[in-house]
Amino acid sequence: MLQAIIDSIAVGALYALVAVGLALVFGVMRLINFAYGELITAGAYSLYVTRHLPLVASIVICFVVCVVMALVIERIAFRPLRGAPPATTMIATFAVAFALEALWLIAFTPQGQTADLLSSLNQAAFHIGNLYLRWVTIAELVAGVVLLGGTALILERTTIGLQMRAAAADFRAARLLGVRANRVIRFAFALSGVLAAVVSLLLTVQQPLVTPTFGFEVTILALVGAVFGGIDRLLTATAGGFLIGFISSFLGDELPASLSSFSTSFTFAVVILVLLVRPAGLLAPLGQSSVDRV
Amino acid sequence: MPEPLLELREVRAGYGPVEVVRGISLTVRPGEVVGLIGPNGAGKTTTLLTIMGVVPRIAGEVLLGGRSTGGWSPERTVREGIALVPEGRHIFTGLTVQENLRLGLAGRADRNGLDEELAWIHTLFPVVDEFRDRIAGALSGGQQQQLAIARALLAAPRVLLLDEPSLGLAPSVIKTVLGALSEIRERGVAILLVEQRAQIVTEFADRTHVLNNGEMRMTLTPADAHDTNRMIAAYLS
Repeated sequence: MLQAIIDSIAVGALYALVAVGLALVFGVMRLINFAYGELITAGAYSLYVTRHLPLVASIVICFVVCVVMALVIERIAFRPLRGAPPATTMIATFAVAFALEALWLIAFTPQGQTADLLSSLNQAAFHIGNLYLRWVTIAELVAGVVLLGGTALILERTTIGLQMRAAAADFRAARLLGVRANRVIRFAFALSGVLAAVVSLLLTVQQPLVTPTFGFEVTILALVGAVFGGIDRLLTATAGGFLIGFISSFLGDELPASLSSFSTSFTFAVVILVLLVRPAGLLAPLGQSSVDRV
Repeated sequence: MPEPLLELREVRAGYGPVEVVRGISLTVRPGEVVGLIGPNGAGKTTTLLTIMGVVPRIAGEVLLGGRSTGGWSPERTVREGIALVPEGRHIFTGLTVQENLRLGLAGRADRNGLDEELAWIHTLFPVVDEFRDRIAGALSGGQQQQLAIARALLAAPRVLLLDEPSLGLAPSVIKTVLGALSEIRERGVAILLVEQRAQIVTEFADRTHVLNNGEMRMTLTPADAHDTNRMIAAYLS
Protein backbone atom coordinates (compact mmCIF):
# COMPACT_ATOMS: atom_id res chain seq x y z
CA MET A 1 0.00 0.00 0.00
CA LEU A 2 2.75 2.47 1.00
CA GLN A 3 4.68 1.59 -2.17
CA ALA A 4 1.56 2.30 -4.25
CA ILE A 5 1.05 5.64 -2.47
CA ILE A 6 4.64 6.77 -3.11
CA ASP A 7 4.54 5.71 -6.76
CA SER A 8 1.15 7.36 -7.22
CA ILE A 9 2.37 10.64 -5.72
CA ALA A 10 5.15 10.67 -8.32
CA VAL A 11 2.71 9.95 -11.15
CA GLY A 12 0.42 12.63 -9.76
CA ALA A 13 3.30 15.14 -9.92
CA LEU A 14 3.80 14.28 -13.60
CA TYR A 15 0.12 14.82 -14.40
CA ALA A 16 0.15 18.04 -12.41
CA LEU A 17 2.91 19.33 -14.72
CA VAL A 18 0.80 18.52 -17.77
CA ALA A 19 -2.23 20.17 -16.15
CA VAL A 20 -0.20 23.32 -15.49
CA GLY A 21 0.95 23.41 -19.11
CA LEU A 22 -2.68 23.26 -20.22
CA ALA A 23 -3.90 25.74 -17.61
CA LEU A 24 -1.23 28.33 -18.46
CA VAL A 25 -2.47 28.54 -22.04
CA PHE A 26 -6.12 28.31 -21.01
CA GLY A 27 -5.58 31.18 -18.60
CA VAL A 28 -4.44 33.68 -21.20
CA MET A 29 -6.34 32.43 -24.25
CA ARG A 30 -9.36 30.56 -22.86
CA LEU A 31 -8.17 27.81 -25.17
CA ILE A 32 -8.04 24.09 -24.37
CA ASN A 33 -4.95 23.05 -26.28
CA PHE A 34 -5.58 19.47 -27.35
CA ALA A 35 -2.35 19.65 -29.34
CA TYR A 36 -0.39 19.81 -26.09
CA GLY A 37 0.11 16.04 -26.12
CA GLU A 38 1.91 16.39 -29.45
CA LEU A 39 4.55 18.56 -27.79
CA ILE A 40 5.20 15.72 -25.37
CA THR A 41 5.34 13.27 -28.27
CA ALA A 42 7.69 15.58 -30.19
CA GLY A 43 9.98 15.79 -27.18
CA ALA A 44 9.99 12.02 -26.85
CA TYR A 45 10.77 11.50 -30.55
CA SER A 46 13.57 14.06 -30.32
CA LEU A 47 15.06 11.94 -27.52
CA TYR A 48 14.84 8.92 -29.82
CA VAL A 49 16.39 10.75 -32.80
CA THR A 50 19.24 12.18 -30.74
CA ARG A 51 19.88 8.98 -28.76
CA HIS A 52 23.43 8.72 -30.12
CA LEU A 53 24.37 12.21 -28.96
CA PRO A 54 25.70 12.95 -25.49
CA LEU A 55 22.90 12.86 -22.93
CA VAL A 56 23.07 16.58 -22.13
CA ALA A 57 22.85 17.52 -25.82
CA SER A 58 19.90 15.20 -26.24
CA ILE A 59 18.07 16.77 -23.29
CA VAL A 60 18.80 20.31 -24.48
CA ILE A 61 17.49 19.46 -27.96
CA CYS A 62 14.35 17.99 -26.38
CA PHE A 63 13.70 21.31 -24.60
CA VAL A 64 14.40 23.32 -27.75
CA VAL A 65 12.07 21.14 -29.84
CA CYS A 66 9.19 21.42 -27.35
CA VAL A 67 9.51 25.18 -26.83
CA VAL A 68 9.99 26.01 -30.53
CA MET A 69 7.11 23.75 -31.52
CA ALA A 70 4.84 25.38 -28.92
CA LEU A 71 5.73 28.83 -30.26
CA VAL A 72 5.31 27.79 -33.89
CA ILE A 73 1.89 26.23 -33.21
CA GLU A 74 0.80 29.42 -31.47
CA ARG A 75 2.04 31.62 -34.30
CA ILE A 76 0.74 29.59 -37.23
CA ALA A 77 -2.42 27.96 -35.93
CA PHE A 78 -3.79 29.91 -33.00
CA ARG A 79 -2.82 33.55 -33.48
CA PRO A 80 -4.75 33.95 -36.74
CA LEU A 81 -7.81 32.59 -34.95
CA ARG A 82 -7.58 34.90 -31.97
CA GLY A 83 -11.00 36.39 -31.37
CA ALA A 84 -12.72 33.54 -33.22
CA PRO A 85 -15.51 31.65 -31.41
CA PRO A 86 -14.22 29.14 -28.82
CA ALA A 87 -15.56 26.19 -30.83
CA THR A 88 -13.43 27.26 -33.82
CA THR A 89 -10.22 27.48 -31.84
CA MET A 90 -10.93 24.21 -30.08
CA ILE A 91 -11.42 22.47 -33.41
CA ALA A 92 -8.17 24.08 -34.59
CA THR A 93 -6.33 22.48 -31.67
CA PHE A 94 -7.76 19.09 -32.68
CA ALA A 95 -6.69 19.74 -36.27
CA VAL A 96 -3.14 20.56 -35.17
CA ALA A 97 -3.06 17.47 -32.97
CA PHE A 98 -4.22 15.15 -35.76
CA ALA A 99 -1.93 16.78 -38.33
CA LEU A 100 1.08 16.28 -36.07
CA GLU A 101 0.03 12.73 -35.24
CA ALA A 102 -0.09 12.01 -38.97
CA LEU A 103 3.35 13.54 -39.29
CA TRP A 104 4.70 11.23 -36.57
CA LEU A 105 3.13 8.25 -38.38
CA ILE A 106 4.83 9.17 -41.65
CA ALA A 107 8.17 9.97 -40.07
CA PHE A 108 8.41 7.23 -37.45
CA THR A 109 5.83 4.55 -38.53
CA PRO A 110 3.15 3.22 -36.18
CA GLN A 111 5.70 0.93 -34.53
CA GLY A 112 7.13 2.23 -31.33
CA GLN A 113 10.65 3.69 -31.27
CA THR A 114 12.74 3.23 -28.18
CA ALA A 115 13.95 6.31 -26.34
CA ASP A 116 15.68 4.82 -23.31
CA LEU A 117 18.34 7.44 -22.66
CA LEU A 118 17.36 7.78 -19.04
CA SER A 119 16.41 4.16 -18.38
CA SER A 120 18.97 4.01 -15.56
CA LEU A 121 16.52 6.12 -13.55
CA ASN A 122 14.34 3.02 -13.27
CA GLN A 123 16.83 1.51 -10.87
CA ALA A 124 16.10 1.59 -7.18
CA ALA A 125 17.69 4.51 -5.38
CA PHE A 126 17.24 2.74 -2.05
CA HIS A 127 14.87 0.41 -0.32
CA ILE A 128 13.61 -0.08 3.18
CA GLY A 129 12.32 -3.59 3.60
CA ASN A 130 9.89 -4.18 0.74
CA LEU A 131 9.62 -0.48 0.01
CA TYR A 132 11.53 0.53 -3.15
CA LEU A 133 12.15 4.08 -4.20
CA ARG A 134 13.30 4.40 -7.82
CA TRP A 135 15.32 7.31 -9.12
CA VAL A 136 12.55 8.22 -11.53
CA THR A 137 10.11 8.53 -8.62
CA ILE A 138 12.49 10.94 -6.92
CA ALA A 139 13.02 12.80 -10.22
CA GLU A 140 9.26 13.14 -10.74
CA LEU A 141 8.74 14.44 -7.22
CA VAL A 142 11.65 16.88 -7.47
CA ALA A 143 10.62 18.05 -10.95
CA GLY A 144 7.05 18.51 -9.76
CA VAL A 145 8.03 20.55 -6.72
CA VAL A 146 10.71 22.62 -8.49
CA LEU A 147 8.73 23.35 -11.66
CA LEU A 148 5.43 24.01 -9.96
CA GLY A 149 7.18 26.20 -7.42
CA GLY A 150 9.15 27.91 -10.18
CA THR A 151 6.00 28.57 -12.18
CA ALA A 152 4.29 29.98 -9.10
CA LEU A 153 7.31 32.21 -8.44
CA ILE A 154 7.31 33.50 -12.01
CA LEU A 155 3.62 34.28 -11.78
CA GLU A 156 3.86 35.92 -8.36
CA ARG A 157 7.17 37.75 -8.51
CA THR A 158 7.83 38.84 -12.08
CA THR A 159 6.26 41.51 -14.24
CA ILE A 160 5.43 39.06 -17.01
CA GLY A 161 3.85 36.79 -14.38
CA LEU A 162 1.73 39.64 -13.08
CA GLN A 163 0.67 40.46 -16.62
CA MET A 164 -0.22 36.80 -17.20
CA ARG A 165 -2.37 36.78 -14.09
CA ALA A 166 -4.09 39.97 -15.20
CA ALA A 167 -4.59 38.61 -18.73
CA ALA A 168 -6.04 35.41 -17.28
CA ALA A 169 -8.54 37.43 -15.24
CA ASP A 170 -9.59 39.89 -17.97
CA PHE A 171 -7.62 39.83 -21.19
CA ARG A 172 -9.19 42.90 -22.77
CA ALA A 173 -8.76 45.00 -19.66
CA ALA A 174 -5.09 43.95 -19.52
CA ARG A 175 -4.55 44.97 -23.15
CA LEU A 176 -6.22 48.32 -22.47
CA LEU A 177 -3.54 48.92 -19.86
CA GLY A 178 -0.83 48.33 -22.40
CA VAL A 179 -0.10 44.68 -21.61
CA ARG A 180 1.25 43.21 -24.84
CA ALA A 181 -1.04 40.35 -25.77
CA ASN A 182 1.42 38.62 -28.08
CA ARG A 183 4.22 38.73 -25.52
CA VAL A 184 2.09 37.29 -22.72
CA ILE A 185 0.66 34.54 -24.92
CA ARG A 186 4.09 33.66 -26.34
CA PHE A 187 5.47 33.41 -22.84
CA ALA A 188 2.60 31.12 -21.74
CA PHE A 189 3.21 28.83 -24.73
CA ALA A 190 6.98 28.80 -24.15
CA LEU A 191 6.51 27.92 -20.49
CA SER A 192 4.07 25.17 -21.42
CA GLY A 193 6.71 23.91 -23.88
CA VAL A 194 9.29 23.70 -21.10
CA LEU A 195 6.87 21.70 -18.97
CA ALA A 196 6.10 19.41 -21.93
CA ALA A 197 9.83 18.74 -22.37
CA VAL A 198 10.19 17.72 -18.73
CA VAL A 199 7.16 15.44 -19.04
CA SER A 200 8.69 13.91 -22.19
CA LEU A 201 11.91 13.17 -20.36
CA LEU A 202 10.24 11.59 -17.35
CA LEU A 203 7.59 9.73 -19.32
CA THR A 204 10.17 8.05 -21.56
CA VAL A 205 11.76 6.62 -18.44
CA GLN A 206 8.51 4.89 -17.56
CA GLN A 207 7.44 4.14 -21.14
CA PRO A 208 10.53 4.11 -23.40
CA LEU A 209 8.47 2.96 -26.39
CA VAL A 210 7.43 6.14 -28.21
CA THR A 211 4.41 5.87 -30.51
CA PRO A 212 2.52 8.59 -32.41
CA THR A 213 -0.06 8.73 -29.56
CA PHE A 214 2.59 8.82 -26.83
CA GLY A 215 1.54 12.14 -25.30
CA PHE A 216 -2.16 11.94 -26.04
CA GLU A 217 -3.39 9.78 -23.17
CA VAL A 218 -1.49 11.62 -20.48
CA THR A 219 -2.77 14.93 -21.87
CA ILE A 220 -6.41 13.85 -21.97
CA LEU A 221 -6.22 12.47 -18.44
CA ALA A 222 -4.45 15.60 -17.18
CA LEU A 223 -7.02 17.77 -18.94
CA VAL A 224 -9.80 15.86 -17.21
CA GLY A 225 -7.89 16.43 -13.98
CA ALA A 226 -7.53 20.14 -14.65
CA VAL A 227 -11.25 20.48 -15.34
CA PHE A 228 -11.96 18.27 -12.33
CA GLY A 229 -10.00 20.67 -10.13
CA GLY A 230 -10.90 23.90 -11.93
CA ILE A 231 -8.92 24.80 -15.05
CA ASP A 232 -9.34 28.55 -14.73
CA ARG A 233 -7.08 28.67 -11.70
CA LEU A 234 -3.54 27.40 -11.84
CA LEU A 235 -3.60 26.05 -8.30
CA THR A 236 -6.86 24.14 -8.69
CA ALA A 237 -5.84 22.85 -12.14
CA THR A 238 -2.54 21.62 -10.66
CA ALA A 239 -4.30 19.95 -7.76
CA GLY A 240 -6.83 18.38 -10.13
CA GLY A 241 -4.06 17.07 -12.39
CA PHE A 242 -2.24 15.66 -9.41
CA LEU A 243 -5.37 14.01 -8.01
CA ILE A 244 -6.29 12.38 -11.31
CA GLY A 245 -2.76 11.05 -11.77
CA PHE A 246 -2.68 9.81 -8.21
CA ILE A 247 -6.10 8.13 -8.33
CA SER A 248 -5.42 6.55 -11.71
CA SER A 249 -2.05 5.18 -10.64
CA PHE A 250 -3.25 4.07 -7.22
CA LEU A 251 -6.24 2.21 -8.63
CA GLY A 252 -4.00 0.60 -11.24
CA ASP A 253 -1.72 -0.66 -8.46
CA GLU A 254 -4.25 -1.61 -5.84
CA LEU A 255 -7.25 -2.97 -7.72
CA PRO A 256 -7.38 -6.75 -8.10
CA ALA A 257 -5.86 -8.01 -11.36
CA SER A 258 -9.31 -8.72 -12.79
CA LEU A 259 -10.33 -5.07 -12.29
CA SER A 260 -7.08 -3.16 -12.78
CA SER A 261 -7.65 -2.79 -16.52
CA PHE A 262 -10.74 -0.76 -15.59
CA SER A 263 -8.78 1.70 -13.44
CA THR A 264 -9.27 4.51 -15.98
CA SER A 265 -13.00 3.78 -16.07
CA PHE A 266 -13.16 3.98 -12.28
CA THR A 267 -11.20 7.26 -12.40
CA PHE A 268 -13.62 8.79 -14.89
CA ALA A 269 -16.59 7.53 -12.85
CA VAL A 270 -15.23 9.48 -9.87
CA VAL A 271 -14.76 12.56 -12.09
CA ILE A 272 -18.33 12.35 -13.44
CA LEU A 273 -19.77 12.00 -9.97
CA VAL A 274 -17.80 14.97 -8.67
CA LEU A 275 -18.69 17.19 -11.64
CA LEU A 276 -22.37 16.32 -11.22
CA VAL A 277 -22.20 17.72 -7.70
CA ARG A 278 -19.63 20.48 -8.35
CA PRO A 279 -19.86 21.47 -12.04
CA ALA A 280 -17.35 24.30 -11.59
CA GLY A 281 -14.74 21.84 -10.36
CA LEU A 282 -14.02 20.07 -7.11
CA LEU A 283 -11.70 22.78 -5.83
CA ALA A 284 -13.41 25.84 -7.34
CA PRO A 285 -14.77 28.38 -4.85
CA LEU A 286 -18.26 27.64 -3.61
CA GLY A 287 -20.94 29.28 -5.70
CA GLN A 288 -18.78 29.68 -8.82
CA SER A 289 -20.79 29.29 -12.00
CA SER A 290 -19.95 26.61 -14.52
CA VAL A 291 -20.59 29.13 -17.31
CA ASP A 292 -17.61 29.58 -19.65
CA ARG A 293 -16.13 26.33 -18.47
CA VAL A 294 -15.45 23.40 -20.72
CA MET B 1 -4.71 78.03 -29.32
CA PRO B 2 -2.66 74.78 -29.09
CA GLU B 3 -3.06 72.09 -31.69
CA PRO B 4 -5.50 69.29 -30.80
CA LEU B 5 -3.93 66.29 -29.09
CA LEU B 6 -6.84 64.06 -29.98
CA GLU B 7 -8.89 64.52 -33.09
CA LEU B 8 -11.72 62.44 -34.52
CA ARG B 9 -12.63 63.11 -38.14
CA GLU B 10 -15.95 61.73 -39.38
CA VAL B 11 -15.35 58.47 -37.53
CA ARG B 12 -17.69 55.60 -38.28
CA ALA B 13 -17.39 52.39 -36.30
CA GLY B 14 -19.38 49.42 -35.13
CA TYR B 15 -19.66 45.72 -34.56
CA GLY B 16 -19.85 43.65 -37.72
CA PRO B 17 -22.56 45.05 -39.96
CA VAL B 18 -24.01 47.22 -37.16
CA GLU B 19 -22.76 50.80 -37.36
CA VAL B 20 -22.89 52.29 -33.87
CA VAL B 21 -20.82 55.46 -34.37
CA ARG B 22 -21.89 57.46 -37.40
CA GLY B 23 -19.57 60.19 -38.46
CA ILE B 24 -18.35 61.71 -35.21
CA SER B 25 -15.85 64.57 -35.30
CA LEU B 26 -14.35 66.21 -32.23
CA THR B 27 -11.10 67.63 -30.91
CA VAL B 28 -9.49 67.71 -27.47
CA ARG B 29 -6.57 70.05 -26.81
CA PRO B 30 -3.95 69.79 -24.06
CA GLY B 31 -5.51 70.68 -20.69
CA GLU B 32 -9.03 70.58 -22.08
CA VAL B 33 -11.93 68.52 -20.78
CA VAL B 34 -14.46 67.53 -23.41
CA GLY B 35 -17.64 65.78 -22.36
CA LEU B 36 -19.67 63.21 -24.25
CA ILE B 37 -23.21 62.66 -23.04
CA GLY B 38 -26.24 60.90 -24.39
CA PRO B 39 -28.75 58.18 -23.60
CA ASN B 40 -27.88 54.49 -23.36
CA GLY B 41 -26.90 53.10 -26.74
CA ALA B 42 -25.94 56.51 -28.11
CA GLY B 43 -22.44 55.26 -29.01
CA LYS B 44 -20.41 56.90 -26.25
CA THR B 45 -18.54 53.80 -25.08
CA THR B 46 -18.08 52.60 -28.66
CA THR B 47 -16.47 55.95 -29.51
CA LEU B 48 -13.93 55.46 -26.71
CA LEU B 49 -13.28 51.85 -27.71
CA THR B 50 -12.76 52.95 -31.30
CA ILE B 51 -10.18 55.50 -30.18
CA MET B 52 -8.45 52.72 -28.23
CA GLY B 53 -8.36 50.42 -31.27
CA VAL B 54 -10.67 47.83 -29.74
CA VAL B 55 -13.61 48.47 -32.05
CA PRO B 56 -12.60 48.65 -35.73
CA ARG B 57 -13.17 51.87 -37.64
CA ILE B 58 -15.32 51.60 -40.72
CA ALA B 59 -14.39 55.07 -41.98
CA GLY B 60 -12.87 58.34 -40.83
CA GLU B 61 -9.72 58.99 -38.90
CA VAL B 62 -8.48 59.18 -35.32
CA LEU B 63 -5.41 61.39 -34.86
CA LEU B 64 -3.13 61.60 -31.84
CA GLY B 65 -0.90 64.65 -31.97
CA GLY B 66 -1.56 64.83 -35.71
CA ARG B 67 -0.62 61.16 -36.33
CA SER B 68 -3.20 58.67 -37.50
CA THR B 69 -3.81 55.81 -35.07
CA GLY B 70 -4.96 53.54 -37.90
CA GLY B 71 -3.79 49.98 -37.41
CA TRP B 72 -2.69 50.50 -33.82
CA SER B 73 -3.47 47.71 -31.36
CA PRO B 74 -4.96 48.71 -27.99
CA GLU B 75 -1.60 48.18 -26.29
CA ARG B 76 0.19 50.35 -28.83
CA THR B 77 -2.45 53.04 -28.43
CA VAL B 78 -1.72 53.11 -24.68
CA ARG B 79 2.02 53.30 -25.28
CA GLU B 80 1.55 56.16 -27.70
CA GLY B 81 -0.22 58.16 -24.99
CA ILE B 82 -3.94 57.41 -24.75
CA ALA B 83 -5.20 55.76 -21.56
CA LEU B 84 -8.72 54.57 -20.84
CA VAL B 85 -10.49 54.27 -17.51
CA PRO B 86 -13.17 51.83 -18.62
CA GLU B 87 -16.78 51.67 -17.56
CA GLY B 88 -17.07 49.42 -14.53
CA ARG B 89 -13.41 50.21 -13.71
CA HIS B 90 -12.17 46.71 -14.62
CA ILE B 91 -10.01 46.51 -11.56
CA PHE B 92 -8.32 43.14 -11.13
CA THR B 93 -10.12 42.23 -7.95
CA GLY B 94 -7.91 39.23 -7.16
CA LEU B 95 -4.73 41.33 -7.24
CA THR B 96 -3.53 43.80 -4.65
CA VAL B 97 -3.84 47.56 -5.09
CA GLN B 98 -0.08 47.73 -5.65
CA GLU B 99 -0.20 45.00 -8.31
CA ASN B 100 -3.03 46.81 -10.10
CA LEU B 101 -0.89 49.94 -10.12
CA ARG B 102 2.12 48.03 -11.45
CA LEU B 103 -0.02 46.88 -14.37
CA GLY B 104 -0.48 50.53 -15.27
CA LEU B 105 3.25 50.67 -15.99
CA ALA B 106 2.76 48.23 -18.89
CA GLY B 107 1.54 51.10 -21.03
CA ARG B 108 4.30 53.49 -20.08
CA ALA B 109 6.83 54.21 -22.80
CA ASP B 110 9.71 54.84 -20.35
CA ARG B 111 10.43 55.22 -16.65
CA ASN B 112 11.44 58.89 -16.80
CA GLY B 113 9.86 60.88 -13.98
CA LEU B 114 8.14 57.84 -12.55
CA ASP B 115 8.96 58.50 -8.88
CA GLU B 116 7.71 62.07 -9.09
CA GLU B 117 4.52 61.02 -10.83
CA LEU B 118 3.90 58.25 -8.34
CA ALA B 119 4.24 60.75 -5.50
CA TRP B 120 1.79 63.05 -7.28
CA ILE B 121 -0.67 60.19 -7.82
CA HIS B 122 -0.44 59.32 -4.12
CA THR B 123 -1.34 62.89 -3.17
CA LEU B 124 -4.14 62.84 -5.70
CA PHE B 125 -5.55 59.55 -4.44
CA PRO B 126 -4.17 58.82 -0.96
CA VAL B 127 -6.23 55.60 -0.74
CA VAL B 128 -4.06 53.84 -3.31
CA ASP B 129 -1.04 54.36 -1.08
CA GLU B 130 -2.87 53.71 2.17
CA PHE B 131 -4.35 50.39 0.97
CA ARG B 132 -1.47 49.35 -1.29
CA ASP B 133 -1.25 45.80 0.12
CA ARG B 134 -5.01 45.25 0.25
CA ILE B 135 -6.76 43.03 -2.29
CA ALA B 136 -8.38 45.43 -4.76
CA GLY B 137 -11.68 43.54 -4.60
CA ALA B 138 -11.98 44.59 -0.96
CA LEU B 139 -12.04 48.31 -1.84
CA SER B 140 -15.27 50.29 -2.03
CA GLY B 141 -16.60 51.40 -5.42
CA GLY B 142 -15.23 54.90 -4.96
CA GLN B 143 -11.81 53.61 -3.94
CA GLN B 144 -11.76 51.27 -6.94
CA GLN B 145 -12.57 54.20 -9.22
CA GLN B 146 -9.69 56.16 -7.78
CA LEU B 147 -7.44 53.14 -8.27
CA ALA B 148 -8.58 52.82 -11.88
CA ILE B 149 -7.71 56.46 -12.61
CA ALA B 150 -4.41 56.21 -10.73
CA ARG B 151 -3.52 53.09 -12.72
CA ALA B 152 -4.30 54.84 -16.00
CA LEU B 153 -2.15 57.82 -14.97
CA LEU B 154 0.87 55.56 -14.43
CA ALA B 155 0.98 55.07 -18.19
CA ALA B 156 1.80 58.82 -18.38
CA PRO B 157 -0.97 59.50 -20.89
CA ARG B 158 -1.26 62.65 -22.96
CA VAL B 159 -4.94 61.88 -23.46
CA LEU B 160 -7.14 60.37 -20.75
CA LEU B 161 -10.47 58.79 -21.67
CA LEU B 162 -12.94 58.13 -18.88
CA ASP B 163 -16.08 56.07 -19.31
CA GLU B 164 -18.73 56.91 -16.73
CA PRO B 165 -16.39 57.47 -13.80
CA SER B 166 -19.26 58.60 -11.56
CA LEU B 167 -21.31 55.44 -12.09
CA GLY B 168 -22.54 54.11 -8.77
CA LEU B 169 -20.57 56.61 -6.70
CA ALA B 170 -21.78 58.76 -3.82
CA PRO B 171 -21.86 62.55 -4.48
CA SER B 172 -18.92 63.13 -2.13
CA VAL B 173 -16.80 60.62 -4.05
CA ILE B 174 -17.81 62.16 -7.38
CA LYS B 175 -16.56 65.48 -6.01
CA THR B 176 -13.20 63.86 -5.15
CA VAL B 177 -12.93 62.33 -8.63
CA LEU B 178 -13.76 65.62 -10.36
CA GLY B 179 -11.27 67.43 -8.14
CA ALA B 180 -8.60 64.98 -9.25
CA LEU B 181 -9.56 65.43 -12.89
CA SER B 182 -9.13 69.18 -12.47
CA GLU B 183 -5.57 68.64 -11.27
CA ILE B 184 -4.87 66.20 -14.08
CA ARG B 185 -6.03 68.69 -16.72
CA GLU B 186 -3.81 71.35 -15.15
CA ARG B 187 -0.87 69.13 -16.04
CA GLY B 188 -1.80 69.46 -19.70
CA VAL B 189 -3.53 66.12 -20.08
CA ALA B 190 -6.40 66.18 -22.56
CA ILE B 191 -9.52 64.56 -21.09
CA LEU B 192 -12.45 63.04 -22.92
CA LEU B 193 -15.16 62.32 -20.37
CA VAL B 194 -18.15 60.11 -21.09
CA GLU B 195 -20.95 60.49 -18.59
CA GLN B 196 -24.62 59.82 -17.99
CA ARG B 197 -24.89 62.66 -15.47
CA ALA B 198 -25.39 65.42 -17.99
CA GLN B 199 -25.48 68.39 -15.67
CA ILE B 200 -22.30 67.49 -13.81
CA VAL B 201 -20.25 66.93 -16.94
CA THR B 202 -21.65 69.95 -18.80
CA GLU B 203 -20.69 72.15 -15.89
CA PHE B 204 -17.26 70.60 -15.53
CA ALA B 205 -16.13 70.24 -19.16
CA ASP B 206 -15.00 73.01 -21.49
CA ARG B 207 -17.65 71.81 -23.94
CA THR B 208 -19.89 68.80 -24.06
CA HIS B 209 -21.09 66.99 -27.14
CA VAL B 210 -24.47 65.32 -27.10
CA LEU B 211 -24.61 61.97 -28.86
CA ASN B 212 -27.72 60.18 -29.95
CA ASN B 213 -28.03 57.16 -32.18
CA GLY B 214 -24.32 57.36 -32.98
CA GLU B 215 -24.45 60.95 -34.21
CA MET B 216 -23.38 64.23 -32.66
CA ARG B 217 -26.56 66.25 -32.13
CA MET B 218 -25.43 69.40 -30.33
CA THR B 219 -22.65 70.93 -28.26
CA LEU B 220 -23.18 72.44 -24.83
CA THR B 221 -21.06 74.87 -22.83
CA PRO B 222 -20.80 75.17 -19.04
CA ALA B 223 -23.30 78.01 -19.23
CA ASP B 224 -25.92 75.53 -20.46
CA ALA B 225 -25.59 73.33 -17.37
CA HIS B 226 -28.25 75.23 -15.45
CA ASP B 227 -30.48 75.92 -18.42
CA THR B 228 -33.07 73.21 -17.83
CA ASN B 229 -34.77 73.67 -21.19
CA ARG B 230 -31.49 73.35 -23.06
CA MET B 231 -30.52 70.22 -21.11
CA ILE B 232 -33.89 68.61 -21.78
CA ALA B 233 -33.59 69.55 -25.45
CA ALA B 234 -30.13 67.99 -25.51
CA TYR B 235 -31.43 64.66 -24.27
CA LEU B 236 -34.51 64.67 -26.46
CA SER B 237 -32.58 65.82 -29.52
